[in-house]
Amino acid sequence: MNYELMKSGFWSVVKRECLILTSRPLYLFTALVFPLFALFFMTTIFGNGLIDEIPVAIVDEDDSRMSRNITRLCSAVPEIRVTQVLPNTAEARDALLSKKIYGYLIIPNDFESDVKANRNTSLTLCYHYAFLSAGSEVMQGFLNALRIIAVSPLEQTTDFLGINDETLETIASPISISAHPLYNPALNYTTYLTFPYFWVLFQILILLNIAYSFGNEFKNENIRNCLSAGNGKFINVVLGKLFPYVIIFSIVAIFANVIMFEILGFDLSSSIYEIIVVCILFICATCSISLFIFSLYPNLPIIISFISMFGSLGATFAGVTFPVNAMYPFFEKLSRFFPIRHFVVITDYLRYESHSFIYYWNHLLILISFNILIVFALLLLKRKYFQFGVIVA
Amino acid sequence: MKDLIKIISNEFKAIGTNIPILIVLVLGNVGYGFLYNLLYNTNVYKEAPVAIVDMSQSDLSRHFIDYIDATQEVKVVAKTQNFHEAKRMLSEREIVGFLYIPSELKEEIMKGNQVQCVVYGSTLSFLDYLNIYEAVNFASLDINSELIPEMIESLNMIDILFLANDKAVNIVSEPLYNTSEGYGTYLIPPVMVIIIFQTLMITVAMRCGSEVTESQRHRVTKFYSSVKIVLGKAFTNVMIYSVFSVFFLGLLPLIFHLPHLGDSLDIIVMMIPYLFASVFFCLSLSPFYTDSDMPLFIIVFMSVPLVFLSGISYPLELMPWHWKLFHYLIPTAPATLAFVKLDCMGGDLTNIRPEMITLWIQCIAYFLIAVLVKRFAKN
Repeated sequence: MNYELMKSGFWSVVKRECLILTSRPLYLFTALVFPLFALFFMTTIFGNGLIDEIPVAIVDEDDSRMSRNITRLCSAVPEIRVTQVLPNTAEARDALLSKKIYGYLIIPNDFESDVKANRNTSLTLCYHYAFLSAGSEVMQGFLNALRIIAVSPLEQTTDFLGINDETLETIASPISISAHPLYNPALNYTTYLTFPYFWVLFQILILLNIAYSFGNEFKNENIRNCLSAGNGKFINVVLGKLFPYVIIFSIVAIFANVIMFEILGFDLSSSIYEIIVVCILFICATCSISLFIFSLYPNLPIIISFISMFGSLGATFAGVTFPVNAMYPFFEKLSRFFPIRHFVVITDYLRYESHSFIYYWNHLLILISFNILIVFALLLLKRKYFQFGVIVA
Repeated sequence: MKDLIKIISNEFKAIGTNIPILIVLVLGNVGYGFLYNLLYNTNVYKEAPVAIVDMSQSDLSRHFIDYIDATQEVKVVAKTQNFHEAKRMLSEREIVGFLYIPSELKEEIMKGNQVQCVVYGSTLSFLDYLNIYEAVNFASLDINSELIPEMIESLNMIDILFLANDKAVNIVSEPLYNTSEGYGTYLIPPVMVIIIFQTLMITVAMRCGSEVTESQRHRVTKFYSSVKIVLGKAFTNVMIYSVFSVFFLGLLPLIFHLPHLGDSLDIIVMMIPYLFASVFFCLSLSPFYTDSDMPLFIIVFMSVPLVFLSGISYPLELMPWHWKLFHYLIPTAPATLAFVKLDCMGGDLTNIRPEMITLWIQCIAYFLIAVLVKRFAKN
């Protein structure tokens, strides 16, 4: 088989492609350095990955013993850190606009006396929802701190009657809720986003590298040389050009997986070999779809904008931050045409649930099926080539 | 001045006759603008599918489930008594989480004891988890307030029954600036500012790249003429992008009902240094644009990192110092933040002073670099 391939010109196309790749440092950058940069970026951008100690303020209009008590309670929860106590809402808004704080709690005038006199009163907690992640953390932090304050009028009377705190809590919340976040119990952003988003960035690079490599052949009319290196067979040209890229990307994938799962210790319930195999399948699928899109209109300057768009949409259709089933049904269906969607589904299983093959086999099959597109790309490119002699960009 | 006008008109001509650049400008801008808005137009994530493992099967548990189902965050799609069935549904992604209600719910509460229910929520998407967490917690607050009189009675504390009528302190929660609590209204405004930067970068870079391939880029011998060329290119692109800025930041927010609280004049004042700084930034990088397609690599690849670096999706304070530094080096990061402050938060120019200073410093610095690059770059 090897001999046949060599004879048929496959290896000479591979050799030619390797020479092109080493001819300019730029190619080394796009195929190797950029993916490594993406790995560095995604593993370090979130710091320790935990959104805690978010700065907040207390707007203390009451300035009483009780309001100071509330400030102390709020300082005690891990999610938020009270950095300022302000006399009015206007100052809090200013602090919010200058990003010194991400939320504040308003303790109204006469709060203590209202509580003591059993008059209706309320605490307002305001959180920044233009910054969704920080804002929701502030809300949860305040709610945790305030749970006990909500029953403070009861506490006054029960204290008087000698009822202990435990009984009071039972009376106030007979049904208590305990939360078990599955898969990522610490709600850590590094665990959440680093792996899928590294691959989102990497697939953009894969898509562009492949389109660029083929586009240059057609643009510079090098396709004749390439074809003669491949013994006049298009299949040698296509597979021979793809081969070095798949090897380079696979090495990057192995390196990235070792860094994430072995060195940084991300959770992985399956073996690292399984996830590496899936990553390589994903690389092949992405190469195929890039080549297919290119073959639809093999004019690099024009099609590359479309491929860029396809790549950046991967960030949305991966469905990691905003679930795809929350989008319009059309977009939900469209997401299935993106290899990254299936890749994320499969790797979610591999990372968190062992023995889950029965749940993801169909996605795996689709991921593998993307490679069929190479055949179509081959036919399309061949037809275009023989139709026009050479495709001029 | 005459030269400058000539350069500008030449640039317009070059851009207007370059099909790939026109595609990016028209289809790219309009396409991206509409597509991203449509993608997130559902905005609020509602009715996440959840299941209930109801071991209690009592009127109380059914009442609790009704409360949960009534929230907009989740939709109860299955009720079962089999824990493993719920786990299977979660594994098959039919649901995003489930609530376990223990069998002794009613009996224990009748006895005056506290009962713990457990929420199991998938964190594969944090929005899924947030939805089930909020829904169950709010439902429990509602049902608990109904149960107080019963609890007091069952604890045989008739003498404190009056407590049940006591007014507890209300806790009012108020999401600021994004009152619909939507994901689209949170993500899209900053993304619009980033798209402007990206397509602007692509346009400028493709133009520089095509100059290389068409060997139009002559070595500029005089410092003064490189200043003129840089200014000419900047004015051309800023003029073109003033129109697209109106489209992205003025028209699209109206069509898709995005937050639009800012004063138009303030936004214009903010956009001037942003657009200039972006063009100068891009021209400073021109030695890297060895042909017309390569810039796309860097620019498209940077799209997701730019969202993170702007400090909108993850607090800037929690990032390591070297990424914070990047925030000050790339014009889009402070501009995104400034735009969110103006248009989503209703701030004014005094609130965006640090961002404006950063942008103007970038503008001057990148202008000088761009001029030097033009003057000394190899042909």
